[in-house]
Amino acid sequence: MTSVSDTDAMSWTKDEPAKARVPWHQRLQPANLLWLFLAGILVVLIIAPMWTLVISSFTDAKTGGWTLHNYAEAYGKERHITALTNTLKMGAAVVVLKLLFGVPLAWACSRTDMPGRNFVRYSVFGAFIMPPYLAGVGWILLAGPNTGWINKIWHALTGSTEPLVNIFSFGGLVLVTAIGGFFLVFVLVSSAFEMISSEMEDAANILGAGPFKTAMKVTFPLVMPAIIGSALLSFLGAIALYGVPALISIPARYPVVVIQLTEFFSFPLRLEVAAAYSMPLLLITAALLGLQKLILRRKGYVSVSGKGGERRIVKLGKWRWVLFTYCLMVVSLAVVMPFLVLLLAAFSQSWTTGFSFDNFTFGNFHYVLFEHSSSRRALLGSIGLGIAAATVAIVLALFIAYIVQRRLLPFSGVLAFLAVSPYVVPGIVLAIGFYAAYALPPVALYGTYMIMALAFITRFLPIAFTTSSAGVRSIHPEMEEAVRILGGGRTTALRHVVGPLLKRTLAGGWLLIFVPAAQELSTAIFLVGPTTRVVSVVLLDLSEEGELEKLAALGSLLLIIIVAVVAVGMKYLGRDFMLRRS
Amino acid sequence: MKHVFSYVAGFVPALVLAAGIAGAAEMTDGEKQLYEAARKEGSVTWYVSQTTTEFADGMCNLFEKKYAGVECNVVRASGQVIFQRLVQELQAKAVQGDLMSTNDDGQMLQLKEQGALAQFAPENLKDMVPVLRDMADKEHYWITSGVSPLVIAYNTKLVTEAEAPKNWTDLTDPKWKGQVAVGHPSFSGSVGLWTILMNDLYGWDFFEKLEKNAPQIGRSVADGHNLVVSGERKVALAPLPLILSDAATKKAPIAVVYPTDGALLPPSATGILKDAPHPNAARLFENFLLGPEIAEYFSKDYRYPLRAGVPLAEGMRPLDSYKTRSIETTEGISKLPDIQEKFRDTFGI
Amino acid sequence: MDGLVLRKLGRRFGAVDAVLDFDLHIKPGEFVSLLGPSGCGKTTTLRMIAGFIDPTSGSIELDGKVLSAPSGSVPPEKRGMSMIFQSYAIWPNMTVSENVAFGLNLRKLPAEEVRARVGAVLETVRMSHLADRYPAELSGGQQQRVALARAVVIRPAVLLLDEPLSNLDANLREEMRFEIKRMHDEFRITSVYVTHDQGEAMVTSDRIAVMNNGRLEQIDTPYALYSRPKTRFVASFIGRTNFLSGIRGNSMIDFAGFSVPFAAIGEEMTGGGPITVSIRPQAMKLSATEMAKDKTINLPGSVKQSSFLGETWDYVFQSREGGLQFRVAAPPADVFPVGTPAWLQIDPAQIVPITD
Ligand SMILES: Nc1ncnc2c1ncn2[C@@H]1O[C@H](COP(=O)(O)OP(=O)(O)O)[C@@H](O)[C@H]1O
Ligand SMILES: [Mg+2]
Repeated sequence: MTSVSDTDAMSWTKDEPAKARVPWHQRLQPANLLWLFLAGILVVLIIAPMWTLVISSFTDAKTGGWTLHNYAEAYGKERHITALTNTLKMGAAVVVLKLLFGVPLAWACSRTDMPGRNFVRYSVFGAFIMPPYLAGVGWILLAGPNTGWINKIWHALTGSTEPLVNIFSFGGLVLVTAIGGFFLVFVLVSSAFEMISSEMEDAANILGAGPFKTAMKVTFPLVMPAIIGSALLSFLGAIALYGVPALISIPARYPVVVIQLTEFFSFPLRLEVAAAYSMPLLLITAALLGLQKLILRRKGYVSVSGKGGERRIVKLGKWRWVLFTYCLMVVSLAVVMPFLVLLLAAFSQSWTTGFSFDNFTFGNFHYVLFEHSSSRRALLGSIGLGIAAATVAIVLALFIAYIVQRRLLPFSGVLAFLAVSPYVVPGIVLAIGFYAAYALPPVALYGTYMIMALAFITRFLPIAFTTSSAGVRSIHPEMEEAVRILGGGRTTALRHVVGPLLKRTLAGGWLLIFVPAAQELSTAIFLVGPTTRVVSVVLLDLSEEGELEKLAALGSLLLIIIVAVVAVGMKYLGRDFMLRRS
Repeated sequence: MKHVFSYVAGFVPALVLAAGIAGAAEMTDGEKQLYEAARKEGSVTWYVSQTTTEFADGMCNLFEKKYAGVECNVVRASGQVIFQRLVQELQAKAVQGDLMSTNDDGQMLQLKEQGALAQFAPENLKDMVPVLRDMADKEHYWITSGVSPLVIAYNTKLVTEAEAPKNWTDLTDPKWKGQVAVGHPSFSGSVGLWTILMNDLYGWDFFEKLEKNAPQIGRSVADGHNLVVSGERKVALAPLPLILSDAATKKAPIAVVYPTDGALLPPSATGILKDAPHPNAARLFENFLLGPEIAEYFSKDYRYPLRAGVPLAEGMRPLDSYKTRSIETTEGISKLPDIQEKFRDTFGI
Repeated sequence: MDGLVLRKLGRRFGAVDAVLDFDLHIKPGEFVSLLGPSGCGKTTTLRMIAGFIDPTSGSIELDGKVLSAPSGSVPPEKRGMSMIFQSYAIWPNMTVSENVAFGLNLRKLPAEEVRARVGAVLETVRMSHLADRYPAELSGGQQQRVALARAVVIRPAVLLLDEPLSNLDANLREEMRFEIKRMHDEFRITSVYVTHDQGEAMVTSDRIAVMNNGRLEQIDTPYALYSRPKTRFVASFIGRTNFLSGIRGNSMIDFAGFSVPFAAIGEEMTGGGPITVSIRPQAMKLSATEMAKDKTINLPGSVKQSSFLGETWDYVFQSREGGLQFRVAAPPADVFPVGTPAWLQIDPAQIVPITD
């Protein structure tokens, strides 16, 4: 076969083995090309848009030359700077509120004998399913200054004509943003609470600390890393959110960065200035995540470890009802109240009239399902994009996690870094990057579902990657080696063994992506084309025309579909999949 | 579209006329040719900020009914937003819209100057109300596709006719503090023109005072009437047809004030894009906009029909019976950017 | 050359040579064990044969065809081998018969034949009645049988086993040794078996390759390894032994207190220099009196320590002249209290010169 086999006939001890070669076609593993291809996809999804974004922020729109002018234009106006500082203030206030909501609920549900823990858990889960802009609309119905239900009741009770609460205010903006995201605090902090063994608390008890002191001195410090982590994520989520400011901050006349970005994105389009203006969001995010690493690396924050011991719940006595009342208040604010008014509005001819037989109608549903020009297609589009983004992201992430874990390529670590890096890119900034890189010729993906799907996949790749890589890590490499030695390639191993073994893990990750992807607004807002609108965008348009009843109907339909998908998923996965850390 | 049917009774004669035309399917030769070509193209995509989504959907349905086999896609957004989209597409050389209808004819002029529009003189021009026809581009780059005066709406449950504002400057009266709603000139085309008009009439002082009244600022001009109907705001800047149709068809507590210092009359304009993916369908549609079905549909919904001889809806005042003002097209274009910036500075958003 | 050939095989991890200059020729149908202490490079060698690791020097050939070389290797899936893993690596998402059929299906065999062969092999490993179970429903030993069936059913060119029994308890381990031996006798698959347990290696193997520090120490049949170890490492790793240092004279080796002629040892030797020999405890005998037998070496001395191990006595004997200490194994009936004078008889044919 080769020259080597000829020399075999001679004495084999005198051979020079260094010259032995395996012909290239026998060495070839087609899977190796796949790994390279996947690495290429990451470049397309992540590096190219972000690179284009940074480059275009230094590019003169007319000449194409290098310039700092975009930065001068982006930051040269007091109003633009105000939007930045407003955003930071809003973000900080949102963090405080989210922690006030999330941490006590997490503690109550995981470590106490408070009644109704499951009800609270499900309600918090409802907050995950309810998109922030729908909660925002619910709150406009509740706390519009003159006709919001709360104010009307207040007026009726007191005879006052001044609003009790005004959603179109800084406070309103903060409240609605906070209720739209505190479930993340709840999930992260709950799982931290669940890892603390009671022995650590007992140790403090024995030394004479009462239950309250123990909680303050022992329990909470131990969940501090989770609290810090979730506070950072809350901040990042709050400053990057688009839907709620679009609804509230314009009437409230409280400009924030995302709204300012839409100004640059309106006529005349100043893409390069938008790019320059989005740099602080990017830098703040990167800096905060760096800071988190730094804080957590310090000693003293390491003790919440895997197994923990037995966990006992704290007996609260009569305080359990106080705590329950607080939890009830939080979930009412976050889910129950906005959801109920939305539902009411969806079946009303006019939401202000209140609940009466005359006012009842199916007309809004009929309208959005059969008359409105784009809502049906948008529903299909949203669900389709959700499915596509979740599926592709999970499959892609599985392959990448596999490459990284099995070190199939040199610099696998870089791949891992790339896969989680979209995490630091706010959705709206990501959209600008995608627009700059792919909307215009030569790629010219403007107005296609493709560009949105790509952006969504990128946006949710970090969730997919963390899920998949934990999964792959849990599989003994010999499971795959057994496939390979029997004659299957790596792809066979992935398809027949790794994939099926990770089915549940991957399905859980899929749901965690599908839910936000089907509702995604921030990334969609600059990427939708005339015929590729998604529900979130249609909802925003309806809000712009003030058609709140129809909006409520369409929003309810979206919720119903998402809940149905999640319900199927939970039946298959057990209801705990949300509480597993991602 | 229920309001379409609930007002059938009042328009029997017109309806019979319309039905006769549609039923006979008597198309002119030119129309037939266009229809054939449009059918091959299969669809038309209509960018519209001129009307609400609901109303535009209704127009599209009429079109599809008349010209079976040509699908009509509505893409509705507020004026500046849809214009921005289109400019984006022109830049990307990926034009997806076939024609655009806007309340700001300045946008048409800019598109024309960019060479983005196609010339087309629809057959139905001959039947138009001459005044309206003459508001359009002389070289037929766009037609006038409607007139919706911007007026003041007030809530009749919360405000008596006597209390209601009489003119624009009344909106700055401190008694309306927290009770006014206006749109944003950076989002809405017609609000852009209205802002120019107010500045021309009263100087920027008008907005300084208005700001003290803490108006609710929406993105589109189309939500003002909804805010008034719900009672969230007592008075608002709103397009006339939306107010009249709310009052009449929904029995909503809303009424019109024709400001004594002049309603803004922005001629709505429709033009076909040079790179339209479906040029023939676009032409067919533009011609249809000036046809009897739309005139009928407009009239039923308290809009001014574009065709001569179509009666106005009950309770609707003829255009020349009250004072209106317009902004010169070129003037609008030159003043808008500054006005938008000033508005943002004053209102902080 | 037929069979599996490793030539000057080496693998370096960073600065460490996990395997170095490893030469081995395994004949078709032969069962060879790689035996050595943990960390000596057995797994690395086996995984190089399987194709999971590329060598950094040397090469691997099968039936004259190069499989591995530093410049690149045939991937595992194209080698036609199979392997039994320490963790069994039975796929939990497939039933027993699906596990076993997997390799056959990859070879696109007709369904009929797959069914027949799976049935037959499950019969052989006595697992037919559990064919539709999932691995989670099997005991460790049963899983091991499935792994065995899955590996042999494809009739691999080479069967590789990496400490397959180390996760089983002692009884099962005993049983499975013979199971593996039986399978080999039945199918005659060229096999490479990695273990650190000499008992396992002895039972199963035609030949044993003893490894130390990444190098091959000696390869031989189990009996030869025991009776004629070539190195100090092999002598001490396989069984227990006594090491004696001596000086080579013209025709004799001189130890402290006695000498043995070259001829009696039965190995060609030239004179001069120090030498070490290994004498197994079983190669000697204790008696109360001197036994005047031809060629047998008789040394007077006394018993220093004794422990009774059940099947044998383990004595420490010290010679009077030279003060040499020997560990000696004796049958239970030969009782020598500590301190008793005694004679030690050594069979010179069982004195084995070794290298250090
Ligand atoms: N992937 C690796 N990277 C670095 N060193 C390794 C690797 N695999 C094995 N080694 C080292 O090579 C030596 C031999 O390992 P191994 O073949 O597993 O030994 P055995 O199977 O005989 O116990 C050990 O010192 C081990 O630490
Ligand atoms: Mg090993």
